[in-house]
Amino acid sequence: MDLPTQTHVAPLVIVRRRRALPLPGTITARLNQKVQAGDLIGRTTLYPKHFLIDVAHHLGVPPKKADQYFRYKAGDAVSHGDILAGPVGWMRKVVRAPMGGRVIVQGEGRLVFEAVGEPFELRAGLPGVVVGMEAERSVTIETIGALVEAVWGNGREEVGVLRMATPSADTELTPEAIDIGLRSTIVVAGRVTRPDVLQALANLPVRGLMVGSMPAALVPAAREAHFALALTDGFGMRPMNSAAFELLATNVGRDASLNAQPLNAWLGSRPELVIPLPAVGTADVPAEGVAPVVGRRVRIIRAPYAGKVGTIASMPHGMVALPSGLLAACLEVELTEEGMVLVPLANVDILE
Amino acid sequence: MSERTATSPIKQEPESLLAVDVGTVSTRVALFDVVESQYRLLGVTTAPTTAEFPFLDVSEGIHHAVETLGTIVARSLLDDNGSLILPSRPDGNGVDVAVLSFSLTADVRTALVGLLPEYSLRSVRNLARSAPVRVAAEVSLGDGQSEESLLDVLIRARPDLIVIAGGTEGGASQALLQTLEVVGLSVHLFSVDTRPQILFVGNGEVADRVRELLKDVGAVYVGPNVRPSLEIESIDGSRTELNHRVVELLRTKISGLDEPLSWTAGALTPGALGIGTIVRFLGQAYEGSKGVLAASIGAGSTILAASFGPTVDLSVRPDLNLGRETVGLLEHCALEEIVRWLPVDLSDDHVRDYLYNKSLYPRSVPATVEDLWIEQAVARQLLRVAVQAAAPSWHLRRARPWPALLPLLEPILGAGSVLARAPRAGQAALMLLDGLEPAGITTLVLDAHGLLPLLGAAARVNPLAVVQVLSSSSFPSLGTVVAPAGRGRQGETAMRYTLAYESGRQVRGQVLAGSIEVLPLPMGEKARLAVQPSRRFDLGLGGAGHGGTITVSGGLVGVILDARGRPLVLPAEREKQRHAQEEWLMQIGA
Repeated sequence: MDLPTQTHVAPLVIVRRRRALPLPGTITARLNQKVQAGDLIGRTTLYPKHFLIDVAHHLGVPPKKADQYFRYKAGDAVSHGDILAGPVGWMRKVVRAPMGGRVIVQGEGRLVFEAVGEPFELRAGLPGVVVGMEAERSVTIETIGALVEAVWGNGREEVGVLRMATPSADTELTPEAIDIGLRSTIVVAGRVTRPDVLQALANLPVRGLMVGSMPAALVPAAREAHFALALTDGFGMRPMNSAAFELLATNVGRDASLNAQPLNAWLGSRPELVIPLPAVGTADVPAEGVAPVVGRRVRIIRAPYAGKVGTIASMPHGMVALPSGLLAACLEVELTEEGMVLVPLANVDILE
Repeated sequence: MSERTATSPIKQEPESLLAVDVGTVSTRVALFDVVESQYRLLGVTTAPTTAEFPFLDVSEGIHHAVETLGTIVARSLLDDNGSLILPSRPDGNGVDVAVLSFSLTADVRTALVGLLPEYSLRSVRNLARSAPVRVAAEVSLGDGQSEESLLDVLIRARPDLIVIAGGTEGGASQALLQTLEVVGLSVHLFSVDTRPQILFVGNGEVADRVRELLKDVGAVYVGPNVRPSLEIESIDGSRTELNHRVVELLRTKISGLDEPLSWTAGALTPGALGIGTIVRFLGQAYEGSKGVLAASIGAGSTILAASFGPTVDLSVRPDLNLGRETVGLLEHCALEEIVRWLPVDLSDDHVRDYLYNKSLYPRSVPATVEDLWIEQAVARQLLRVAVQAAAPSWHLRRARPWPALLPLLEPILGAGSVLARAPRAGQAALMLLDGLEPAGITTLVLDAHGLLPLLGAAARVNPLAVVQVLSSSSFPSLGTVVAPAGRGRQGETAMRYTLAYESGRQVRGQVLAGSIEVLPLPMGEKARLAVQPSRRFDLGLGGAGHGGTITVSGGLVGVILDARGRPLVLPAEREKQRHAQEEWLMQIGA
């Protein structure tokens, strides 16, 4: 039996997110600290450059003898121009640090020096409370709010006020619909098909764009864009699934965090939009691994009904011959416009 | 525990055998038992692999599959606690032995280190292609890179595994040890919990010094030298070691294997090695002058296993699959090279969107005819890209009859859902013919139930079962293929034939250049085929224009006379390409 995938489109849930440094570094947040999306919670350095320095050669002494001229221990931080070894002889030969960094290892007349790399700062990404920490690695932040998961993102992350730019989930965003009112916001639209639309949004600029779909030909332009861009449903001309569109429409004007990170099936991380909301009543952590049962809301992910949302009406036993000729386990799904349709179990995504 | 270190020798051949293969998308289980003195496949089923979020435990999928299989074969395989009943009980429940195969591919980032780009680095690259790894960096002291840049490259690659080659057997070791120093330093710079494993496959005489040099920075494993001399490349021995290292790494990333491993006394066979084992078996069984080829298109990787004698050439391409990496095919070919295989008019944008969506939803299946054609077009191109990369380094025993084409093969096994689940057998046959372009006379066999990795794992404990199942209907023949090399003018006669059935009936005819003709011959039947190619075509029976009479076996498609020519040349114009595809599909009965 195939297992449908699952997407969360939830009006009020507890959202817990692990925010991790790409490399070990320093976590600056504290447990139980309240954070805003833009708060710094950790920092590290990326891709430090390394130097293998032949100290003995530079000082003109045998390797064994060179070790006595080292000025620092492994792990010591040094500044640009600091003397790493020496002086030796009447010419007072020395070896200086080529830039700021630290000594990694040294011995037998050689020294490995690590220059300070590119700084990386980790921001909270969404407002909430720090509920977990992993030394030098990560912070877990919890918030309550609406959650809309997507399927593809351009790798950027932004925070802004939510604005709708198209009247329906199936409407294409055009340059004419882009005005100054969208500046610095996270824009929601049915779909985008034109590169000039992405350019117009970049020119405003906007903070983010969440659409149902875009042609895959726009992927290079989307990756270049300086705003976060996430697709809720896939590539092509698919509308945004109605569940997501309606939920986003009811939250216009609220602050939202759009994390257009790439989908990682192993970790379960995927692009998503979180709208922090005041906790009214109770909220739960979203359920995972939900089974397909009659009455469950699903969205169809492949042709001929890609992007449509409906409910499972029945689960026929056995294999069904599809129009393609393939045999597959199917579900009977009731769609608003098309009525009852048979869809392969593998081609539905449970909306939870 | 690895396959080689398993401590459960089977003294007596078991009867019932449960085989489990954990794949990237599906976990497959099959039960084999003796029926009327022959091993038979009693049942096979699949369940979704549960390695990914939110399950993160492959045992869930395995249990689900085993439970379903028990229902299919009307035998309890699990006890009340959900444990496998092992050995079988007098009431027939349970199984006598279980084997486990692991075909799941995950991101095993691997750095390749060699001394000289054209020797050891090339060989270690070929070695890496025989396992499901993602090459994150290649470094060599011999290509002018400084030690510092090697260090930075290795650190940025953040590898799970570093494979080092260098030095011929008994050769100089100084440069090698210098390289190892840099590798050791880079590993030292990783935090302890992220340090990569190191596999050394270079000069065996310095293996102990390598262990000594690197013992403080991490786990060091040693395999046979991949380049024992400048003239000889030998990756067969190290391939097993590499695959076991990869599986060990995956076990640290994937949970839920402990229980199934307790069923198999710790034995676990990497799926690609299992396919290689079967190809080796078949090579020995056929003992002909031709080679044996298995081509598997999976959601995790495309695998080619070819045998032309005692060795097996294995190519594992996790970057070429019909799963999350589907769109990665565009890094190896232009979109037009996929679109040219379509028998319907679909825009480039439509096909590109399909590739991206398939990567987003790898478990999804083509529900419409258009989607099916795209999926099958992708399968053709995956095979072509994989073969073009792998075939030049196959270890042949004799020269290829046609340098630009594949060597003679008998048989060719096709595996993977896109082939096995094709609605018509002709579609599977045409995907194999277009993707591999076999020339001469061969037989296409279909792994209809995805059993190759399962049988590869079973070969260790019960080779008899493997041999008997391989010759059963679980591996139906698609038919004998007669595909001459050469090219003729469209419409002229490419070959004449006479097919003499066992019943005495004879069919005569001719096949025109550029077309395919199928002669009906059901599974299990044999016939005598006299075939005479025109002067422009060569069947490998003594040169162009030379024919002969051969015994052909029936199959799901029949006897396939493919006179489209080799190399296969498609029309340049899109409309003519579509027309050709449509014709060929009709001609082959697809």
